[in-house]
Amino acid sequence: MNARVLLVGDMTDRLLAVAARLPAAPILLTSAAELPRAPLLIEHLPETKRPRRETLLRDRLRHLIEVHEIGTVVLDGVPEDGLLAATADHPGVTWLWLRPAMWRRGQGLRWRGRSAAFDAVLEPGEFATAGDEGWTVYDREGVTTVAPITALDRADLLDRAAARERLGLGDEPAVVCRGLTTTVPGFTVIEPEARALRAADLAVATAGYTAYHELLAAGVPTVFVPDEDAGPDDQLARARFAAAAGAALCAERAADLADLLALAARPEVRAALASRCAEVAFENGASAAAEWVGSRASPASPAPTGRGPRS
Amino acid sequence: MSERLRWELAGARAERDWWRARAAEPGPDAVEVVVAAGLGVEELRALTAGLARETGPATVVVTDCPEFRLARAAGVVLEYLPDAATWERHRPGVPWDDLLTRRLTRILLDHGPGHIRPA
Repeated sequence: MNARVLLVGDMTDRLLAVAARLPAAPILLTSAAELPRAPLLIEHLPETKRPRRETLLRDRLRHLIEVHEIGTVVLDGVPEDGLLAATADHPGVTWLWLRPAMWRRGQGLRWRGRSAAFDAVLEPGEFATAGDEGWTVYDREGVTTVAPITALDRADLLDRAAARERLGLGDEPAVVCRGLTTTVPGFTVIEPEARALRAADLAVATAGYTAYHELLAAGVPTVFVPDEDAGPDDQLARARFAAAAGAALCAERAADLADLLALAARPEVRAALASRCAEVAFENGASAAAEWVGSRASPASPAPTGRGPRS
Repeated sequence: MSERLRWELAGARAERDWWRARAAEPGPDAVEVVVAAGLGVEELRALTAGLARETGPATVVVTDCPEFRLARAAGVVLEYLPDAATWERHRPGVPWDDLLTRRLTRILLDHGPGHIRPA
């Protein structure tokens, strides 16, 4: 029997980065409204009022573990009650948790004890880890950390000239937006694929995990605008840290944005930011995370032990 | 056959017929599961628009269209499953029909008793 891996999560960027580096294609379960475009077998958990999500998640995991002969489940996100129940239903399955860091202070404490339900916990690295004030800072026992996880390694990125040629850009300055929309006087707004990110002379982005690390890794001068509605994810701490390191600018208030964009539009400012990004460059932790998953993957998927209708 | 046995047999048949009728005609809260495999996003959108409603039990539409989010409608639950070609690429040797059968069974268990019909 094959030992298939089931990846579970709604913010799928990190999972897909890991999936691309696993020896065998895993299966992805997500309840994201938009399915990612990836060469994986993708399953979807619908949103319903009846049954309740925790029941649906538990039973759907039972079904998928049986149908796909799953040996290992990797969660990126929070272990909801339904998933926690599933870990008890399937003790023969290896349960791994890619546990996010950078929680806002005092938030997410309900998830703190849930590491115990998993066979192992891996924390995707954060460039701003020194500025992390969340609960995971104090819950380190048995936790493995890798470098920040991005879809592409730096070597996979096109250089500026090749990226601009790919996008058909001339000499005009270009700006890329991630997680928000804005314009910068004198700059053309572009929407490059991840590989051609260096075509941008400037970026304006929220400070979510993926955009933050992709832009810093690509060395694109960026104005980060933390999303205050990003739930427990501490985008403000991330953005502040990058600014303190001299690798980006941080617009803490919307009112600051226009001034900061005017500042960032100056070539010497952008050159300094890009230079600092190169100095503080970090490796991509995706391969290490994939190795970590692969080394813990279960060889088989025994029958579940919990109660409930079989699928 | 005695009169008493005849009465008992008639009663048993009546009870059997009542259960059969009940099983064949789901009650007002029964879920309708519509299998819409093979539809493109526009066809799916037309289908869900026709099924949309604000009250009563949701209709479950089983689709293999990866752009199903564009066909969301009130009172319609979209259940996605991989299409046959994708399934074949990843699970050669395991018939897609088996997946469909097992998924429909799961869906009826998850969403409640009901009946299944094609789109």
